[in-house]
Amino acid sequence: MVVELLSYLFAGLSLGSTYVLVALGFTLIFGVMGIMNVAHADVFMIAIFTYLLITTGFDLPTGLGVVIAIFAGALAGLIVYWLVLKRIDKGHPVALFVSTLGVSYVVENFIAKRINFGRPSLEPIFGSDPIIVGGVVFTGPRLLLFAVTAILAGGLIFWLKKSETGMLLRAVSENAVMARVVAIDTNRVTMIAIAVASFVAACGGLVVGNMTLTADAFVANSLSLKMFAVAVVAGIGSVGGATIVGLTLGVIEAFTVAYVGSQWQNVIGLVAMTVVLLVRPQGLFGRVLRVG
Amino acid sequence: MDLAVKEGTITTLVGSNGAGKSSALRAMAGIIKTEPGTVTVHGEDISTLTTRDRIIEYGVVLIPEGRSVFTTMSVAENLHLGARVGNERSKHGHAATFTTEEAYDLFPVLKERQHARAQTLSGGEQQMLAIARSLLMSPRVLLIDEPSMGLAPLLVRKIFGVMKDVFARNSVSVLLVEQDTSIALELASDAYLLEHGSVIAHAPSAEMRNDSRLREAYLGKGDALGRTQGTGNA
Amino acid sequence: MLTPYAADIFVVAFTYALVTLGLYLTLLSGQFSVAHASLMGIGGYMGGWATTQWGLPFPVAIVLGGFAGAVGGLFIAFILQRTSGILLGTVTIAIGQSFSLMAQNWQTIGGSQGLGGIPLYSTLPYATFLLVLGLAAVLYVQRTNFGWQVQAAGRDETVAKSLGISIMSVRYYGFGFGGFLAGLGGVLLAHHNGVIDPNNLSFASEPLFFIFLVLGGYSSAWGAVAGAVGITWLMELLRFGGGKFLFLDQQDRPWLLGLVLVIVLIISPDGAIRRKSKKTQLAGAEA
Repeated sequence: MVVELLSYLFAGLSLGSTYVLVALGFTLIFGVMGIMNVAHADVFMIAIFTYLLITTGFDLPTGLGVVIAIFAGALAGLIVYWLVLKRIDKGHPVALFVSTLGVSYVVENFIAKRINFGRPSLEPIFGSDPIIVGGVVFTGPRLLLFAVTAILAGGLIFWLKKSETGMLLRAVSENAVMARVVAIDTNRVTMIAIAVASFVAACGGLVVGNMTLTADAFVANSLSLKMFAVAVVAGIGSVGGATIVGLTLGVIEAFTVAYVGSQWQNVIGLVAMTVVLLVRPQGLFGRVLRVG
Repeated sequence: MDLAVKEGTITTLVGSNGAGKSSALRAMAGIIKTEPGTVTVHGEDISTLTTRDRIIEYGVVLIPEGRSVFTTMSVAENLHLGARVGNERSKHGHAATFTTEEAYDLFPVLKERQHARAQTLSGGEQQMLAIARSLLMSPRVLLIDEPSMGLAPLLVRKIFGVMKDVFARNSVSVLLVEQDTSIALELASDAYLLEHGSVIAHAPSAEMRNDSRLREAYLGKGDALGRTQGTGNA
Repeated sequence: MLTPYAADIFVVAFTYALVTLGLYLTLLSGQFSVAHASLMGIGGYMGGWATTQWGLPFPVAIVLGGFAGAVGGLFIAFILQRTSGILLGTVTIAIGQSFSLMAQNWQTIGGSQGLGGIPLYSTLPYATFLLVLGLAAVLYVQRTNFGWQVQAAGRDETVAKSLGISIMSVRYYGFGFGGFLAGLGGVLLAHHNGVIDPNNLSFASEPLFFIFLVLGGYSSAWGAVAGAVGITWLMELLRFGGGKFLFLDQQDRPWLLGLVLVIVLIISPDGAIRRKSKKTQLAGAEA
């Protein structure tokens, strides 16, 4: 019985970790730029595809594939910013938002159509024999996922609180106009935020792909639902909150699938989001939505 | 609109609501764009520069109206944001004129509350914080937008009393926008009266006090100081 | 007269036009919703269910589908009553996706296979009739007093509120009517394809409607229709005769269209969707 519960708990934490890894960047970007970048979840997918392209398509070593994939993901985020987001004036938030929809659409369909790499030999990293602790199965990829999530989430929170650049980011997040009044280069800060966010998403994509061993060009469509839910429930811009909420959501979903029924899994996020929006729109950990 | 601020003095812009006072300041800071018109500092045209460049190279610093501190950050962090700018300015050849220690000496309450979130400070304390931060940025020209808003006049006078020395010592030129004309004319040596986005009068404060146009501009039933019955503001 | 092939394309085009009209209307009322594809799907499921399971005649199914879409829209409006702006848009995506995922797991309505065996009732007369009706309704309402209120709220909620316009009723209207139109489109689609599945609900096809709207000129109802019909035809013609054009073939059409959308947005981002710009806000809030 206990074993069962623990299994579900850890399954939930795996799920939750995925959500955290993609929501962290999303909420960071929204905090700093004030826009909801729907295309962020696609960075996740881009990393996986790049890795497969490098290792299977070009037959290069794993390590190189990982490095290039992460780099590609971060770069993808920045390119979208340079080419698209930066060029649409902030006075048109709707156009900005729709443009992220458009970018997501383009990227997903382009990759679905154009990226082929023969038969992918999907061998997981650290995929050897699973460790069994107290009846609960821990595979290498799952442990890697936990480790990476902990490091990235913890690192991000620490960086935001303690570093100089993190402080600048927090300032821009709170009030972009006032940040300019204290001579902060908001453009540079935004690029840093996007680079960091995309880096996290790319790592996330790799580490999750390592576990699920699938590559779906349209994975962002189902993932983004959770991304929004976590960000909204936690409160836009709250990185620590997103971590807690993401993990919790994963666990709740896992238990729901186990004890209630799989068709309800995706409803939870939506319900939580609805309740929060009706009762406390700024999110559980959020302050009033950013000014400016 | 044609304004000039004499170096090392405090000049004030007065005028009723909607006269365009805040806009003028923000245009000077580079936050909003000016249509035809130029902003010059010591004869140099800075109209095409970004806000950041105006701060770093020319020391044009704005203290915006209302909440002008970062409420989610601590007092120390807010001050640090100002000190950063001061450091950067000194790397560009403009020596720092004010240190964090001096800021704490000037406003001791900030030192006491240095690790507190700015949100927990009172209105007056937040204003002190905003001013201290701005001074740390080594301003040459300080643009202050409605410092008395939401504060008791006594407190505003006290804060400014303290600051006047600092301004004089560091040859900071100040342009003050103020709704409360009596305070404004007390603090400033020179005044411009604005209405509907244009200057309609310019005189030393003492003269402006008695100018009938001042009273007319406020459309009030008060005297030339803009005081209506009972309240201290126009 | 039209060949069966051309008639068929028009049916699809008019179907999309209805959904795009729904999007136009919702956007006009200032509500930024990106869930119309899902409302279309809901309508489709309802209509398909009505004809296959309940054996109801097509017209009845159409109405039911429309109402299903409307109910979905009202539900969304209810949930989002304390939200606005882009947050609202994002949440509508999430809601739409949820509907899709729910449909995938709901075995009674077909699960991931969807609902099949739907009779192919969608002929050109029906499609044309519905589109004309929908277009006329939208154009008419735009001219009424309430329609004016809706548009005022769409341009600036704060100002509208001060004029005594009830924002909530505008929202319910925008989502409800917009959902209704999308639902109609859904029923048509279901009875054209003979099947409706969770993919039709998913967010993946939503950008398509934006493409129609943006490229058709989103400041008018006519634009919405023109965009949908025009681009559907364009896509058809761009089948490149089954072959290739440079290195592109017909499966490249989705991302090419998306690219055009993004480029258009970069070049000319404003329009009737939301005219509020930061500059007017700053200027307006001045002392």
